[in-house]
Amino acid sequence: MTLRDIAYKNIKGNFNRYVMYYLSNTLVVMVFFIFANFIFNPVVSKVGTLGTKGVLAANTMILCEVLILVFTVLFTFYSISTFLKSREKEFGLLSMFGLTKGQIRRYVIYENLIVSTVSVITGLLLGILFSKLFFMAITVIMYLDAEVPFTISLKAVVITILSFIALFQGLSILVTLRIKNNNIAELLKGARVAQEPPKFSIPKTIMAIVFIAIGYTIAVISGAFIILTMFPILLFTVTGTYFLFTQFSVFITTRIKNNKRVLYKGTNIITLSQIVHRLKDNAKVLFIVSILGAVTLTASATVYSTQQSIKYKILLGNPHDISFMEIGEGLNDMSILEEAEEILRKNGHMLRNKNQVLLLRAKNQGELNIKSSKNPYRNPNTEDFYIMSVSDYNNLAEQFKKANITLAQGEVYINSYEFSVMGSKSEKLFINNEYITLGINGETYKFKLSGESIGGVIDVDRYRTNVAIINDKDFEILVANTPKEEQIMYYGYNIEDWERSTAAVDEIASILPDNYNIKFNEKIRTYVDIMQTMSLFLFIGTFVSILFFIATGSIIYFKMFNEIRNDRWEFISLKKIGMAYDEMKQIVSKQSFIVFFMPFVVAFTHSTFAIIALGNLLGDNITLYFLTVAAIYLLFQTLYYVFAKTMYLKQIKSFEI
Amino acid sequence: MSVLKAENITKIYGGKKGAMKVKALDNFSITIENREFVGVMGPSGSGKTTLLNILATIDTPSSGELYINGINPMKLDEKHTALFRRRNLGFIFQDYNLLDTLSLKENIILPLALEKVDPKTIEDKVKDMAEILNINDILNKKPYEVSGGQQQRAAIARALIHNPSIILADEPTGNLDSKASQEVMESLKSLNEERNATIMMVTHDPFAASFCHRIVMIKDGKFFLEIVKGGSRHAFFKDILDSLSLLGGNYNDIA
Repeated sequence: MTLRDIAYKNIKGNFNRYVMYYLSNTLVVMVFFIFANFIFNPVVSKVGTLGTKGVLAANTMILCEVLILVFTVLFTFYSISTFLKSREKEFGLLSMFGLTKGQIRRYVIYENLIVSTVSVITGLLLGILFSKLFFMAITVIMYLDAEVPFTISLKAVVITILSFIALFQGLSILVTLRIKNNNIAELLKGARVAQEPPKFSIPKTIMAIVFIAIGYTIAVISGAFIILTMFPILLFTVTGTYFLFTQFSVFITTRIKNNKRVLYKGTNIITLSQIVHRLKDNAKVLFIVSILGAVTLTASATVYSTQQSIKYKILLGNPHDISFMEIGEGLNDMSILEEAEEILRKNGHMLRNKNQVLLLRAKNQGELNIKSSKNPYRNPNTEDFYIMSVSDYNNLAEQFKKANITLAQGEVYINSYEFSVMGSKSEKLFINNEYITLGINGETYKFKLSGESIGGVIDVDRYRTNVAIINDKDFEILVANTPKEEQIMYYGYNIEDWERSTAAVDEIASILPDNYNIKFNEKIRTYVDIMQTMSLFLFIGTFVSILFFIATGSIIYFKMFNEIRNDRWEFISLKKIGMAYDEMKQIVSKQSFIVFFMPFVVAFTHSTFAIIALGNLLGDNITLYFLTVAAIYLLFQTLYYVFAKTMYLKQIKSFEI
Repeated sequence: MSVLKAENITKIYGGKKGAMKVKALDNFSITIENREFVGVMGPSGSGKTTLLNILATIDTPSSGELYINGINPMKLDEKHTALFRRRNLGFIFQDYNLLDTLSLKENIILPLALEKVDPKTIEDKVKDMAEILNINDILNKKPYEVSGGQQQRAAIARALIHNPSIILADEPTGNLDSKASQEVMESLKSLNEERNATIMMVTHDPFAASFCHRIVMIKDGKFFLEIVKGGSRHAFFKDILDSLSLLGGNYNDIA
């Protein structure tokens, strides 16, 4: 029997402990390869085929590749070193048989070589298998007409193999250098050496809470200045979290332990003591997992809610999919509308609504008290207005499921369109004024302001012109006083399947006459463009999130199974003195529940505040989007917990007395 | 009524697919009365540990009947066997089996905590046990911080704190030096005498055995002979040594 055989047999025997390590390595290799294969795809690098977005996607993925490698270094390093630490007894035994330090190192390196080679190979095979699927997904997400051709890039294969073999082997050599078998007697005792109970310092415990509180408070009050306060927030929160796990947790568990009513109740005594005992070992892992979890959760929620929020605002500003404005009502050749309708029909987009609204142009003539904005970059349009009659407004409002309004003569209701797509909160502009003075066709009129809402029933134009809605009688008088050349007719369309109407819109844009009196407005091209980019980020982000998630889960899993060996005889002792399996199950469930869900709770709380800050910035309530992402995360976390617990219990059940 | 009654216990290991059958116990019977302190001795491989495991309900006999306090634990399911074990039996092991993560005190109260006894009663009982066993000063230490003898005394406290019907001790002095052995055996003796504890102890050690009321010797899974303490402990010790030589030349692992 050679050293290699022992290494091989050892892996087979320790399958339970290796399995998650192996699976997460496989997954990492798989994702790495898929991204590399995309990056090296000949089509992607040519801007002509995929457009600039292909290049953007490729660049994002290069960034992700680096992230994956950095993360793998940390993950592998941690996994191998804890694994080795738990095996000191075995190394002691091997030394007793006369193996030299060098031989033991070789033995460990063989072992790692086997696991890493197998995971690189399976990862690569799975990567090749799923590359096709990934390319198809990218094609769909980016609304590409032609699919990205499926090729296996030899370069990607070589890079994947080389990077991971080098990484895994380099790390395992590095870690094995730390094996020092100076005292065989001590090694033989293995992990069962005296461990001091963890201690806490009161100032650091207080600091944990204060730092996190400071971080949260700054995050909530920063508003648009979050870009400046981001780093202090991170610093406070991360340090606070570190103390939370290393100090505060010890403090709180010690407090609970001192309460005899709780401690002396059933299995609590064992559960609590074990938790306290292990806090020292676990604190750092839980800390890292929490931070990674918070990053994953915040990042996915940010991308998702940014996408949803932009979508919401585009829709708010553009109730119609396509609209035309004819300046000089009835004076232009409007056959263009019929042509446009024909093009839409030809492309399979049936009309859902067609509306027509008469508008008048107006300019602000009075002193306005504009609500000062927190955002210094904002430059709202408070000068230009379109005038609309309240009955037209109410007709459209009904169609778009908005509230109806009633206006007396001399009153005005304003729709402002002051929301930038990102970066500042939508704010009502005129709400501080009691009266608005409008100049229409050379005359000035003073209206009493009855209300204002953001977004309206007609599409925003590129000057973000506000809409002033007035009583029908007032409107009739104004129309009568305005020559045809100054009147504007607005035509709005809603069509079926508008998200896929880019081609039709392009065609309509091409038939527009070179004439400033007919304006064409559509939301489709901007919308599709932004959605493509955001979906791409979301897609790649999801990949990386899943990777992070699996890896953090594996760290916890790994930790649990490392402990089971030390716990083995404890469980046997407990069984002997009459602990039922159900009670052991209870202990295991509680403990693994804490290691799995405590980081989640911390990650969730951190992300909540990050999302509140983001919500302040976007000027949108994005809680729902965040909760969606968090719920998905929680679901996966629960599945992982159930899986790990079941595996662990299976092991415990197999312990014979 | 006898506390423990085992009748015609036979335990056969192996025997599946032509593997060699080993009869670890062969029609062995033993009865232990209330407040008795009984020792079981025998050479290695004689079936002592098998017997203890069966009496401890952590192993089942191939045939035979076992009654503890009139209850046959073999008729109970896994959960109830565990509950039965922890309510009716107390265990003392050669390697103490104290949990490293718990302090000695927490180890001792474990059986009561599992039964959800009220904290005040628990505190009183621990105090009482610690006094008898003289481990008052080290109650808040962890097992690895105290000596083997102290650990074993804590284990004894754990075995007795819930007033079990019988204490089963497996080589309680096996890991201890002679001074610690003496202390541990003295403790067991005083518990037997002052607290009316019923004890069955498996041992190799004639010195430890000399603290018992009677010794049952077992050889090749069968009852071999029984000696009862007549006069002084010293005389009993000699009797034991004489009987051990009767057990045969292979009894060469006397402590």
